[in-house]
Amino acid sequence: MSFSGQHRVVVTGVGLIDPFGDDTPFFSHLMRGDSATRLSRFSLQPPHEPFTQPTVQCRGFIPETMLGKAISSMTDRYSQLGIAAAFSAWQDAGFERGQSMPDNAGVSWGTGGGGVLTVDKGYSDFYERGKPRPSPLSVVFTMNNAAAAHIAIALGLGGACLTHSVACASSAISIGEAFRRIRSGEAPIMVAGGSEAPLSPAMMRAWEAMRVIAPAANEDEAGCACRPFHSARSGFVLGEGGAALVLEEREHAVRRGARIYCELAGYGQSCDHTHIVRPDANGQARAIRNALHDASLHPEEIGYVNAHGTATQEGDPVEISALKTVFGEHARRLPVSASKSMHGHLLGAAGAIEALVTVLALSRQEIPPTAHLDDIAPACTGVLHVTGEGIGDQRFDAAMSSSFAFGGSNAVLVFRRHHAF
Amino acid sequence: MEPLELIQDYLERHTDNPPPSLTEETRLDTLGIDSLAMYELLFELEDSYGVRFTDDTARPETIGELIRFIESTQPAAKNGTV
Repeated sequence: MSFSGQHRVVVTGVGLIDPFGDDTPFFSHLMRGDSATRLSRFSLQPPHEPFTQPTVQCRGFIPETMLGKAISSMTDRYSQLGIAAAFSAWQDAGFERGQSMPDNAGVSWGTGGGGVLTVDKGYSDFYERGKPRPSPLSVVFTMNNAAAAHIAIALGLGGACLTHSVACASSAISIGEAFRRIRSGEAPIMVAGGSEAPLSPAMMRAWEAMRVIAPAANEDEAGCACRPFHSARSGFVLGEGGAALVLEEREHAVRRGARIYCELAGYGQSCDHTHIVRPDANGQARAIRNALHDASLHPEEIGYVNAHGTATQEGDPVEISALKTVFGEHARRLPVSASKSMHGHLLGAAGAIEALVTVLALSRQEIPPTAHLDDIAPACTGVLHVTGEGIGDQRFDAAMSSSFAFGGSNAVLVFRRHHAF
Repeated sequence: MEPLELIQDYLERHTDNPPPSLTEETRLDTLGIDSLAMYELLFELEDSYGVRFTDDTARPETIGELIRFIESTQPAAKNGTV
């Protein structure tokens, strides 16, 4: 417990569905500036033409292999990705499935769309193919709390089972709210993260229609389509995936001899309250300040920011402006990168995968780059962009992950190296 | 596909330890699937054989009873009256 009477919260497990899906570790790919984006082709019934879009798909993820048929046949892909990520984090934390857990250990999950692939199929079956009714499992496939519920069932977590659906801040908020549960003493352990499986052709076309998806004419262009902070940035690429952290009350973790990656020290939120999609630097700055205040850290103590960095024309300069507002003179020395350039935009799971990247960066003292950033936009200067390959052998004590969602909902997490005092 | 084969196929797709063999005496409550999955199985049978399980349908307890119900409705189904 800290001097403030609140419990300290540490990260003891990380889990991810690796979008690269090969023998090279995920973080090593990021440090090299590799992109997991590929040009995906989608065939549709007439009158629709086949179409292509750069995406990040977890092609190596076979649910039946990782989860078994009983779970995978009862779940949408977004749940499958989430359950598998949670299992991975659980194992990484040194726990076994079925191990007895305190009654108040829980789950806090995030997703933007939930089971959109099941919705897509159900509507198609019902309206187009004339089936008298969708599958009786449609409801339990699509509900936004399905992933969290399956994780709780499989891991025996009988405390709070929460789902947060706050667009692209969903899983940053799920981690932040889990953090508060542990800090207040309501729970000793929380599995927190998010998952998303948004690659339904109709939804992809809807994102395209918003003019926020980076175009790509071929495979080469697809690989570097998402270029945050670049003068020629043209938007993001949609990605599917899941990522999870095991958050634990520090004394609980120390007593059982757990490996501690780092401490989750602060969480800040805000709402722009200005526009449904146009971001606002003042609102983002409030969330950053709130997170720093919550962590009892000065801006100068932050040594890395994993930016939201969606590579949209409007969003990136606003985010840099918010950083400069809060960090002042320190901004020019503040390493910033957007890992979305490599793993794609996981929407409701973005906050979770980017928190995981931040945790790994801090614990390894290595900072991954923003890939493909060879020409920084004038409107995005004023911070220390990490470009090319990542930078190793850094010395920094704290790092931040930012998530700024449609709806103006902002969430910022601050991690710091674990110290015994 | 015969109903027994369809049930076996469903169990192989939806369970990690499907029964090694099914007979007409196999009870439905020993198939290792919960009530939701049982509804899913019944819906697959409906779609495959043009039958309709309604609230008035006597609840089958064994695979044999299930098959006999399907077979009893087949002529009517072919006439489009079920």
